[in-house]
Amino acid sequence: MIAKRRLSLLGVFVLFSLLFNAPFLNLPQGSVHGIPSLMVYISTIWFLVIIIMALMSQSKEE
Amino acid sequence: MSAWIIIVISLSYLGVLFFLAHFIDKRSKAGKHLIQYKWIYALSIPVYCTAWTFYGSVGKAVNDGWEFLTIYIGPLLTMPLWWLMVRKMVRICESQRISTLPDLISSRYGKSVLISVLASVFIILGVIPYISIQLKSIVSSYEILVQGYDSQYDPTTLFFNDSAFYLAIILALFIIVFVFKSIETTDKHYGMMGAIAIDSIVKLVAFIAVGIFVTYGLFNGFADLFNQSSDTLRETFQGIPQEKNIDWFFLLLLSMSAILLLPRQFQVTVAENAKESDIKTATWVFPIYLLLINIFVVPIALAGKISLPSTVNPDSYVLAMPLFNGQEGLAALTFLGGFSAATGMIIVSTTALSIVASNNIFVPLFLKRLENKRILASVPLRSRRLAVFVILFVAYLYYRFISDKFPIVSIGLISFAAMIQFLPAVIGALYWKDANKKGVVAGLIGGFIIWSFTLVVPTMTEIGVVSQSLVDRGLLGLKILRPTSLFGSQMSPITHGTFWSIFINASLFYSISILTKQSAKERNVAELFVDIFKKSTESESLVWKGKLVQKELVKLSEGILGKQRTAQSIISYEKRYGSLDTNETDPRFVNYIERMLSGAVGSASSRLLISSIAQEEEIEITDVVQLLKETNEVSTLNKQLTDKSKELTQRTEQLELANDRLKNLDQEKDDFISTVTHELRTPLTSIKAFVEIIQDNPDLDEKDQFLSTINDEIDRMTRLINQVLDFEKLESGAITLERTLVIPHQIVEDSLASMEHMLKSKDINLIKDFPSDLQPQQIIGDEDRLKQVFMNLLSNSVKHSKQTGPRIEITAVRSNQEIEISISDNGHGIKKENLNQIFDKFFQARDQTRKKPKGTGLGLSISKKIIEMHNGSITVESEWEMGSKFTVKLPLELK
Repeated sequence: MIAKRRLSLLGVFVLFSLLFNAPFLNLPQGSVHGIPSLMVYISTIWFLVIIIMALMSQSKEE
Repeated sequence: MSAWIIIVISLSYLGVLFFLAHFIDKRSKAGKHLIQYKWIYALSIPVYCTAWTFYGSVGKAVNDGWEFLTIYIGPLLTMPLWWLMVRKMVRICESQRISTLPDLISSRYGKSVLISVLASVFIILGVIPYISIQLKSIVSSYEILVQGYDSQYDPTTLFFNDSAFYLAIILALFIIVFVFKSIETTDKHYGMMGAIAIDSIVKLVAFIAVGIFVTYGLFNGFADLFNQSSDTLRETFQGIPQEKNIDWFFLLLLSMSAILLLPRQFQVTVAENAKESDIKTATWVFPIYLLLINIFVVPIALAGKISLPSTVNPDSYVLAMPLFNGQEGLAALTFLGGFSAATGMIIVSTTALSIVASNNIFVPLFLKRLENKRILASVPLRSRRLAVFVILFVAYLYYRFISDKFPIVSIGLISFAAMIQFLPAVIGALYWKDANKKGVVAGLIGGFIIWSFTLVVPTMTEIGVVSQSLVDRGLLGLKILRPTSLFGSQMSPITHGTFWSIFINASLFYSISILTKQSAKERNVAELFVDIFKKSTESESLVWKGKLVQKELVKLSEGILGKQRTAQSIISYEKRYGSLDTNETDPRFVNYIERMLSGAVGSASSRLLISSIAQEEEIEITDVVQLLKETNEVSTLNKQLTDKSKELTQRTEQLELANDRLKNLDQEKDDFISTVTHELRTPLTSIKAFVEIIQDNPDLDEKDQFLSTINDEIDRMTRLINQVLDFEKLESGAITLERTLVIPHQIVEDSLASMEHMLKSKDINLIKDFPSDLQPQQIIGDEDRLKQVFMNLLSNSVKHSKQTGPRIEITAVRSNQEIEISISDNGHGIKKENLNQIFDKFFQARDQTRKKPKGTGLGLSISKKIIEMHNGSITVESEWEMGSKFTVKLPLELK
């Protein structure tokens, strides 16, 4: 269970590191309702990090 | 705005902060926390957001678009690693009483004075410019408020007319009063942490207030701001140019290391951590904070560019926007936000650097020079207090003569690049047992030389300290050694400096660690650090060999920690390990006192102090191996004990279950006796009554009728006794089935024939749906026992049938390799809560909710047992007042 938790945390780190770097960061182009797509993209991923960290922090393990 | 108003606001804010810090400290000492410490801890981590964030982010956004976000996305990305890495640092620092980063590195690499001094000097050199930009931001914002949004800082102001000078003194006093009260550096500074948490809230509220005012007060939201911006500016925020991807990556790397290694971050995250689980709260609160403080950066940048004159410095937009629009109150709040961001950083950074300067430079070097190696507790404490003034004074000088020439962000980034130099050594300390002192020294020296050459030298040329020709022609006239394009590489200055310094640092660290041998002492600590979660956190994980007079050791401790603290420590030690033999040298006690001293004077100094009173022997690698073996044995023993304990718990649970079962059985037995005696007594009573009547009146006309009733009652008693005996035999396994090929349809028909009289007497409408193809199907079973089951089910249906329009339906279907025979009625049905217990023996006896029907409550239990002996199953579906349906499934014998 402990190893599984470590792997999940590392997995989350790798996933978001990829999403916050090129080439993913170069994908959003144009704008959504007058706001640059990149801003929407960054905000969405940021929210996801918050939600995932909040959920993971509920764990009673270790 | 009047200068006096601003000074009063600033002083009042500092006064409130001092008061709250004092109040929180007092309450915490009494064990009464205003709020849970985890929230203060989580809100102190945004000390990361300094004046650089408050003012510099907008400036950076104006010039480089989204790149300003890398400084916050980097820390955000490290959040999943905190539970792995920060928790490990916290555990190590707690167990070894470490309070600074240089102490952590020096402890791991042989408690080396060289590493301790080297790392400390580099940290101080890297961070002082960062403190200086906080002073600069406070003075700049003050100037803007007093002289207007397009004012410029006047470098000719004399120091006694310079508010930064007085501010530095006030902050130094705060640190001395609230932080350096005792010699112990591992004590938690609740007052200071509370003040930092308040700072975090103030700067966030202030920034959001300006953001909302600009975005929704002056403009109609985000989209409106983008629409009104010039094409060039809008283009800046459309995306990240491909050629900037590499800069983006390196800036993320810098900020990732900064959040873990900057002295102020290490102080609040590791040294001030009171409970490891508090880290979990911080990992989601801090990202929320970062999101909120960044959300209005771009709108303010756009609004500033749209509305403010081009002469206004973008670093001042946050303050200039409210001023330009006549909002003096909001401008004052904004000033306070920036002021809190800067003061928070200055307080924590200066605290951390002062401990570093005292414990890792001054005390060890001072001790080395002393012959008797004896110092009083006042020496480290005084040196720490003195360091506060020295650090703030140097930072002030740096601000006066250098900082003003550069944007806030560029100085901050150079500091970040200094901090990343510690990353290889720290990762090695936490995860690589073969990493050694020589590798760390080479890596740190190499990294810092390249850092100075590629990042500091070019800035020095700009202020004329270093000749421009060095940058243009390279070191020794070699173009491949130009500070801004080492070996001809073309990158932005910060990426260039970071890449080469960390590359050289990590390469030297790795290769020299691989090529050189580690001392046994280092190996010993490496084992403890890397496997900290597997090992005991106490002194027995370290080897110590030598002789000393234990009384001397106690005296040494008393000299530094004081008599009371030493006595308390000895009591804790004896509680854990038993009473102390003062005549024998106890290595475990020596390690214990060394750790206690580390908390006060740092690990390198405590090592020097211990070695000064002991005749130490060099430890061999075999000693470490032996200790490892022992600790592994202890660990295995602990594991075995844990397993045994778990097993014991399981056994206890099983025993409890068995006990519950026995209690149930006992209850059932009581129910059984009660039911059976009741059922036997009723007929016996009537038999006795009839017999007496007949005896008294031998010629009675109803004599034959009475005798018939007596006969019926005797039959009922016989039935009951037979059922009880039957059940007992089934339970004990004394009954064996007489298995032959039988036809279920025939059994059902026979059962119905036996029940014919009963069915007719109740005028029951019998519906049969037994398909013709199923009628000849056979099963292997005991005909009599199966008949007993169906008769029991039919009898139950009849007994519970309705008075009007009673109906019983018998259906049969084939399901895979089984035959399903259902008997349903439209009787009273069974309550939902009783459905699960209906097949329990004596259930009806325990059911006190309804009137007892005749019977023992054994019929369905016997039926279930018989069907299970035929490898089949029996189930019930029922709805209260609607009827019940019993389904028997039996495996078919296929021809």
